[in-house]
Amino acid sequence: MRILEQFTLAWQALWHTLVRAWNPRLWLWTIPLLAVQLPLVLLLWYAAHPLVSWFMAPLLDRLAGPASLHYPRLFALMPGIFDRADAVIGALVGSIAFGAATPAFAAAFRGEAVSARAALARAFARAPQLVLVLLPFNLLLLGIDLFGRALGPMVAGRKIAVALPLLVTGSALAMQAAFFYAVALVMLEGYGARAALRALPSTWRPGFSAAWIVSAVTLFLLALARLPGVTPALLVERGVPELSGWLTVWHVATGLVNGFVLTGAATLLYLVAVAPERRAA
Amino acid sequence: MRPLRRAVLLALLLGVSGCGDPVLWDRWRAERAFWHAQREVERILVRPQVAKPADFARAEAGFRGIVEAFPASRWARATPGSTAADVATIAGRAAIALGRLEEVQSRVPEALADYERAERDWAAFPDLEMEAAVRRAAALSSSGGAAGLAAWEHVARAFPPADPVSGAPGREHVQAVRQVTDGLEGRGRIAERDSLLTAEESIGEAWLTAHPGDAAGPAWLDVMTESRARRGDQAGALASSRRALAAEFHVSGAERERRVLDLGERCLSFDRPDSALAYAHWGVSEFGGVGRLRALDLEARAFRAAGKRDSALEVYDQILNENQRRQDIAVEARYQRAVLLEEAGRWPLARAEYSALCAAAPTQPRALQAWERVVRHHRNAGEEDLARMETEHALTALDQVIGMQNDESERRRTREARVAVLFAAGRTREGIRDLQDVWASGGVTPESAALGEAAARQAETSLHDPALARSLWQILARSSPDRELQARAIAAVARLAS
Repeated sequence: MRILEQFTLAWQALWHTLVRAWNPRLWLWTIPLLAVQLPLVLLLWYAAHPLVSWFMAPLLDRLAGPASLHYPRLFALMPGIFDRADAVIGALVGSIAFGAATPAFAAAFRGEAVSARAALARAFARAPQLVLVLLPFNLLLLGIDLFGRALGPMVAGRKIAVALPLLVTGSALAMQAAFFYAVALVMLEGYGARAALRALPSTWRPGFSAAWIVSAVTLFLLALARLPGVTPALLVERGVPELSGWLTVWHVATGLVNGFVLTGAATLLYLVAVAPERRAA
Repeated sequence: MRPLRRAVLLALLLGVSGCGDPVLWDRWRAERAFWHAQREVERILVRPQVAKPADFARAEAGFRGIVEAFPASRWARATPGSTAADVATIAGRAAIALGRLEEVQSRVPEALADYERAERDWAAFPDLEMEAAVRRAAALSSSGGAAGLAAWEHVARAFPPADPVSGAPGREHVQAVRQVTDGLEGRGRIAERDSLLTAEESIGEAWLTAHPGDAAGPAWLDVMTESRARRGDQAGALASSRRALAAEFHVSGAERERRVLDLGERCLSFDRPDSALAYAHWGVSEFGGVGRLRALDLEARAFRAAGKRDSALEVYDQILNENQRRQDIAVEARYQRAVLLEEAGRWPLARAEYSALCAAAPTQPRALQAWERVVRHHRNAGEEDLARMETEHALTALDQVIGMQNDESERRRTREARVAVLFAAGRTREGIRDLQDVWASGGVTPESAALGEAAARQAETSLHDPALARSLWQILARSSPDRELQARAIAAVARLAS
C-alpha cells in the first residue's frame, strides 16, 4: 500500500473513531483503568492520612524522598509520581482495557451491536496474553525513555542536544507503530501472545505508516491537551497546590481519550487495511 | 482463605483502624493551613496600603486556627527532630505570625502580647523562642522608649553568640548587640557602648583562638571588624578585615572579590584613599563583570577623595566606555562626572554633562537630581537670572515627563524632583503646595519626607510661618517612614505647640 493511501487511511481512521466518541458503550473499557487510576490519585492526595499513610508514607519516601510527605511539596511532585505509577498500571490494566476496547470498536465499525460488557469479560479472560503481547513494547518504551534521560546530560550544550528529544520521540513513535496491531491480533484473531508477536511483522507493510501517523497525531494532540507550560511547580507557586492534583486527574482524562482514539483507529485500520492484506497473503 | 484475600482483608483492617501515623496527618494539616495563611500575608504585603480588614482577618483566622488546633500545651513537649517537632515548629511560627499581623496593623500592644506568649509557650524550641524575642524587641524599639533597649539586651544575653550548628556568629545575637549599641549611642552612653562592643570582640577572639582554621572564622572577623569600626578603632578594624581576607584568600570568585572590595571601601570610609586605591587597582586588574565595575567605582571615588579629580574623571570615562549598553551604570557614571566637573569649577563642561544626562535618560533618578543641581549651582553663584531661566527650563521638562509618565511610582518621583527644583529656586511656598499635593495623592515616601523636613525648617526660618511649619511637621510626625525623622518631627510639633 502506498504511503499516500496509508496517510488517507490514517485520517479516515481518526475521523471515524472520533465520531463514535458519543457512544457510551465504547467507553466501558475505561472502567478498570479508572478504578485503579482515580484511587491512586486519591491515595497520593491523602498520602499522609492515617487510613493510608501506613503504606503510602514509606512508599513515597522511597519513591520521591522524605520531602514528598510535606505540603505543598507532594502536590508539586504528584503528576510525576503518578506518571511513574501509571506506566505500570498501563502495562497491566491498560493492556486488558485496550483488549476490551478492541472487539467493542470492531463491532461498532462493522455496524453490529456493541456488547461492551462481553468484550470486557473476554479481555479479562485473555488478560495474560494481552499483558504479554504488549510487554516488549512497554519495556522498549521504558528503555528509550531511560536512554534519553541518560544521554541528555552527556550531550548537554552540544548541537545533538537539540535533536535528542526528536530522536527519542521518533523512536517511541516507531515502536508504537510496530506494536500498533498487537492487541487486535490477540482479540480479533484469537492469537496467543507469542503467535501475535510472531505475526506482528506481517502488519507492518500494510499498516506501519498509517499507525505511525495516527500515533504522531495523537501524541501531538495529547501534548497540547496536557496544557504545556502549566507545570505543578507553577501551580504551587501561584498559590493553589491542590490544582496540581486536579492536573493529575486531567492527565488521567486526556490519557483515556488518547487511548480511545488510538484503540479505535488501530481497530479500524486493522479491519480495513491489515487483515485483508494478511488474508490475501 | 486464599492468600490474596487474606492480604486484602488485612489491608482493609489496617486502613479502617487508621494504623498510619496520625502525627503525619497533623503535620500535613498544619503545613497546609500555615501555607495558605502565609499566602494571605504575602498578598497583603505586596500592597499593604490597599489591604482590606477582611484580608487581615482571613490571614489571622488561618494562623489562629493552627495555634488552637496544635496548642503548645501538647506539642511543645515534642522530641526534637521528630514529626511532632515539625508540627510544633509550624504552630510556633503561626503564633509569631499572629504578632506580625498585629504589628502590620499598627496594633503594637497586641503584637507584643502575642510575641511574649509565643516566647513563653515555645521556650522548649530555641529557634522559636529566639524569633519571638527578636520580634518583640524590634516591636518595642520601633515604638521608642527604653523598653526596646532592655528587650534587645535580653536577647543579647539570652541567646548564644555562636550558632550551635555552624559555629558562625549567631544572627540574632549579633542583631541584638547592634541594636543595643545603637540604643546606647543614641542616648550618648558611649562608654557603655564601647564596653559592650569590646566584650563582643573578646568573645570573637576567644572563639577564633579555640577554633583555628574553622570555616566560620571569617564571619567572626567580620563581626569584629564592624565592632571595631564602630568604636573608632580603625587600625583594629582594618587588621581584622585583612585577616578575614587572608583566611579566604584561597576562595575564588565572588566571595574573594567581595572581601577585597569591602576592604577597599573600609579604607575609603576611614579616609585612607591611597589604601583604598591599592585594593581598587587589585580589583580592576583581576576581576571581571560586576566585581570589575565595583572596583572601577571604588577607584574613581578613591581618586576623588585623594583630590585627584582628573584621574577620577578618567575612571568614569572608562566605566562609560565599558558599559555603554547598561543605562543605569552609564547614567550614574555621567552624573558623577558632572558632579566632579562642577566641583572642579569647570561649569560649562558640568552643565553639558547634566544636560546630556537629562536628555538621554529623563526619568532616571540621577537625571531628576541633575535639574535641581543646575538650578542650585546658579543660585549659589548669585546668578539669579540664569537660575530663573534654568528653573523654568527644568519645570517645563519635568512637567513633560510627568504628563507622559504612566508608571505611578515614576510619576511620583518626578513630582518630588519638581518640588526639589522649586525649593532650589527659592520658590518655597509653591514647592510646599506641590509637596502637600504629592503627599495627599500617595502618602509620604522617604524622599518626600526629607523634602518635607527641609520645607518645614524653611517655613520656620526664612518664611517665618510657624503655622505652615507646624502643619508640615505634623504630617511628618504622623506619616514619615523614617523613624528618626519622625522623632524629630514629633519634637518639633511639641516645640512649636509650647
